[in-house]
Amino acid sequence: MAIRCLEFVDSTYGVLSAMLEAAEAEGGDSIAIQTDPIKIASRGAGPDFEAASTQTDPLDIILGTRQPTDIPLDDPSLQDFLRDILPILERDLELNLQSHAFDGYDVQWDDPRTGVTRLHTLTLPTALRPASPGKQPSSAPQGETSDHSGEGLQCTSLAWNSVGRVLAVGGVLARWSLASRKLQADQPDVMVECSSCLMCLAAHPTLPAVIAGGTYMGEVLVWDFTAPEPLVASSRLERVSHRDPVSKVAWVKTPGSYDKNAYLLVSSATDGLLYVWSLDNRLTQPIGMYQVKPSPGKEIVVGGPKQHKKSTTNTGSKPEAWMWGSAGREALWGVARALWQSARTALSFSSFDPQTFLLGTETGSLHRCNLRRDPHFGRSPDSMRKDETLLASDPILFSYTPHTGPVNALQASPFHRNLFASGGSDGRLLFRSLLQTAPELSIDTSASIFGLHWSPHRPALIAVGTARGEVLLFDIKPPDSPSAAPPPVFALQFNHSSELPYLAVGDGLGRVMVFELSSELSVGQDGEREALDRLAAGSGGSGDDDELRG
Amino acid sequence: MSEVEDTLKRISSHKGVTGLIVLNQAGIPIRTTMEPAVTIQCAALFTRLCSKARSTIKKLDEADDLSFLRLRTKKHEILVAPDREYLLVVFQNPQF
Repeated sequence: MAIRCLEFVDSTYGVLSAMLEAAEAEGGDSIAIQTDPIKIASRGAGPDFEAASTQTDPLDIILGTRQPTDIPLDDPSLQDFLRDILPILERDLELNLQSHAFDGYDVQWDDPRTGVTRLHTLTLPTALRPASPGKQPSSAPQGETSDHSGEGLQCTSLAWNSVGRVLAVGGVLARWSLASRKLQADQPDVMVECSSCLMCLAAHPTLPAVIAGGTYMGEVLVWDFTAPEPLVASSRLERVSHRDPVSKVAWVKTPGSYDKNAYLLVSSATDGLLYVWSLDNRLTQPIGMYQVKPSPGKEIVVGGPKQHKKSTTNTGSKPEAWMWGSAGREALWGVARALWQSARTALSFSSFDPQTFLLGTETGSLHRCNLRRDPHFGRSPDSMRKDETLLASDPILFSYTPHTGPVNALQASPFHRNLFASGGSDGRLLFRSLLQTAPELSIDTSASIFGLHWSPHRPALIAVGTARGEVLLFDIKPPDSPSAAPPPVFALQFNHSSELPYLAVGDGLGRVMVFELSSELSVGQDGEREALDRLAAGSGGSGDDDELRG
Repeated sequence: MSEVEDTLKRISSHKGVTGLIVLNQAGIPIRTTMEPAVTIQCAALFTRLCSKARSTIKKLDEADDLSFLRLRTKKHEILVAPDREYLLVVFQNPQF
């Protein structure tokens, strides 16, 4: 009997051996096959599973439009609580009104800084300044800049970004990061050249890297410095856009949007038009349009729509005389009206009502306007037809007694709902109430005012830049203390971060100076709000700011 | 009108009172006269402040407890009345 053994190899099951047994005696073959037992391993795997669920109140309860109903308001324990607390609370509320315990008491939370220090003087690299004066547009609203126009780029506008660390400078767009240790005064961190001079800048209120600007040619541009290509949106000159220098751009909260970064862009130009832009269509087409034009009788709006109608009929053919009140000025009004079309140099939005804004024109007139005068305001660009023609609305609600020259600067007080300040080429700094046509306080700076900015920290402080190169810091409460610097000052910006009490000042030589303000000028003081209250209420009289000292 | 509504109206009509919030012990606003966003922020912050103040007092003296909290700020006088179940926050502008 012969036994033959065969081995097969299989990659999966290993050795497979077969034994062949030959049984000669029976005359047959007996075959046995044997394999290694197959090992089977079983392993289970599965992801860990956790379930979480949260529940909140419906949105309208959270947002307060509806009071929650499942909490019984007539709960006896709440009633008891309120009944117990009411006498104590009422007594304290009364006492607070009479108490003078905290008057004049101020906590010094920070080490006081004394004096105003100049931290930086930023200049554009000389190589990049346009050599030929011809290329240099007259960026300031007034002709008085000609003395300095040969010097190179002017600083037309300034903007601190939303966190207050980066300063952007108009003319060409230059950005300096002041927090950076590598800060070079003559070398901006980022520089973008535009086809024409940048007239104005506005940093996005919440996104630190986003900034909008308007050019001398009438373009409106938006840069995002986090994007690979910074210029993310621009208006098209061949389509609907401004045809004249853009004098101001501003961000306005998108109405009805819960997204805190949703803002619309409003631009105004010297062509007398205002456009509303949305980033959703990358500024290809404006979504709103306003035009300030003198309709008959419009000029004499003094006390709102009702009075307006009445006065038109009463004064007949010479409404101007009624408004101006003196024959000598009638001629001036005629000139002013002729110039109306070249209107608009200053624009400021109210910090209390985001759709209300103030408008100052080259003719010196001042208006309170509202974006809601356009019934379509705030619609999304998707709801527009491709080639829809925009109808211009008239935004004016109310007009104020004008300046005797162009209004160059204008800003609503960030602390008082009804107060705003305006400065013009007539050198007057006027403090006005939104509700009164006549100014409440007038300060004569004896030089054209180009820039003006309220302090975001000290309610009664305002900075003014003049044609004589002065930066004047006015304090409506205690005596003012002007500090000085050279050529005309076109742009002023307080840094809105309270940790960085800086004031940036841009002048006609293209220099930007960053001042660190003393504690006295940056920390709010007792009694400042009351000073504003009195000013807005008109008890401050007019003429001298001394009258307002508390 | 319920007595609760009546009392709340009475407090908010006091001179200088700019806002009023009633919170329950979970910190949920059940009545407010202020902006929604401000209310929510106040609810979270004042619940925390109050429990912190209370634990401070309790740690100093076991037998003592917080009964009323008044805060003087540059803009406001804030009166906080705590209770086992509720918290009442009143904002007053004392220079009204």
